[in-house]
Amino acid sequence: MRLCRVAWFLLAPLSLGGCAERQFPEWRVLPLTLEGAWESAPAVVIGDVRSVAPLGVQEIKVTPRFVSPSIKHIYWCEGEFRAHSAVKGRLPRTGKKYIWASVRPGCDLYRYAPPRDERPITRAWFIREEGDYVRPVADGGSFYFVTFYANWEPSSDIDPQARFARLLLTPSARDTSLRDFATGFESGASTACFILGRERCVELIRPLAALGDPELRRAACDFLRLQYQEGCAR
Amino acid sequence: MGIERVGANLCYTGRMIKSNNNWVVTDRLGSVVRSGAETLRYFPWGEERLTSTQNRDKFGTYFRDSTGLDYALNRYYSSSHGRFLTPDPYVASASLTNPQSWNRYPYVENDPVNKLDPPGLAWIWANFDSLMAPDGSVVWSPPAAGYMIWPATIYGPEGTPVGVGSSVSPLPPIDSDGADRRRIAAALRVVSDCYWGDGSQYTVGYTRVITYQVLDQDGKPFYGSEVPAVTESVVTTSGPTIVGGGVWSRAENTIDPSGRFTDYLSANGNAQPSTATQTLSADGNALRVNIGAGSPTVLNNTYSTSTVTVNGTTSPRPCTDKDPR
Repeated sequence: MRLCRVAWFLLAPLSLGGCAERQFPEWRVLPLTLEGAWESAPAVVIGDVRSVAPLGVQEIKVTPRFVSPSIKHIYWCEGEFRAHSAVKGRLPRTGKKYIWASVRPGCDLYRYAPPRDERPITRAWFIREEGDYVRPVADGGSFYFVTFYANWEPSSDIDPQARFARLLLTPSARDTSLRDFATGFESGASTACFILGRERCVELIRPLAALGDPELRRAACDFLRLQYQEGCAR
Repeated sequence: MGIERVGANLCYTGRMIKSNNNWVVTDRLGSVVRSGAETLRYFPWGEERLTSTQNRDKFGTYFRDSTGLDYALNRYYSSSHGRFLTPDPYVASASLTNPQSWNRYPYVENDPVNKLDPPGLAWIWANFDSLMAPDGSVVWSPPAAGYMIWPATIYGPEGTPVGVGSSVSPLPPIDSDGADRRRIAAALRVVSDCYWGDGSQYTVGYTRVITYQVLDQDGKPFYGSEVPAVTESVVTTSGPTIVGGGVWSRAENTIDPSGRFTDYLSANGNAQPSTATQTLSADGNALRVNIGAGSPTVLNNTYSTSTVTVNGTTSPRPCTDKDPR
């Protein structure tokens, strides 16, 4: 394995030739929940990363906090970041590269995404900007993005944060079945409620309990009861 | 200031911790709210909500005698009347600028929720950090700001245990009805539990990912600034060392605004299995974890290349792209 160190300030234009004296950016690992990622990210934007390519391999000499001491190398990757709508914060300037580090080679951002079907896909990315680059809010322990099976029209009049929160509470936009939606319900619901506030959130969650799936009903009612001491019925 | 014997009582840093051979817990007014297994509750002026044995220390640092009167060193206080039975003998406690102080019988200028008067001479403020005299001078400071004494092992100056004694935990605030209302982190609820078979973005091999939510003693979550930091302690009991000991805090958003945080558990590629105990604490209390049997405060975990068990449980499902990595 050829290891090299790439200067952060020399990444653009990137050249890996003669890279012995160069350095990588900080590898950032933070265990964040979805709500924590929303809170931590300076910007959440709708878009995608394309033209993904490996950037280099970094040898880990000092293990950062939280990180397994077994990890000796991480793999830096980059891609073209194209965003068209800001949900939180502002859009990064056009043409910025998205750079992240992974503990495994392959630069496969969408490795754990469910199989594609005919539905449209929208991804909301939790990002921060470092110089000329866009980076995930954390390289490890968090969420790079959330996927919605829905269109996101950039010109919509709806407040983007409310729209994002509503999508988190829309079963068809998150999953293929109500049962699957119930499994990860609390993570999305708590983030949506953080954005929408208690009153609107409760209004949106109550109907979910009535959709007919017992697991979703249990998840929704438990959430309302524990978090807000509210019942499923008005 | 260490452990002192005051009459039949044992005190630690100025606070009573043992009375009539029972370990006691006092609130910020010095009232005994727990004595052995017994809980005592008071109305604001010191009347007991439920009758209990007399002739012992009860309200506001006072000894309550068999007639129900409180002995305040220099005079008697009647909790049923909310006033002293004799005038204040301490001349300096009267102030020309404070008409309340001209009446020499009232208890703590009629503010029994925020003030106390141990000697029966002059009231002092009871706040979360210290006891202060009216002039602002600190009369007593707890070992750490906003903390009270709880039974535990006491160590002498040489570091040797001198008996079961006290540890510190947050002081309970007192509502207008005199009841303790302090919310203390007490338990962890499992929000989600899944596993990555091939490691997360910072662990190697099988990794169990558990998201917890911190709950108070009544089972209610914390929100925003009241969410406490959670500290992890991991002690490897066999096999290769399991790395742990993290802190999740609001300062870096590793605990979210609703008190949820994510723990990653992995053997990190070690071929040999390990066992370890894991304790998660907040506010100085080991938290009960609602996972497996018994809601223990100390989790017995096993780590291998193919699974991680926590208090005898295995993860119920693989993680998906909707789980943190």
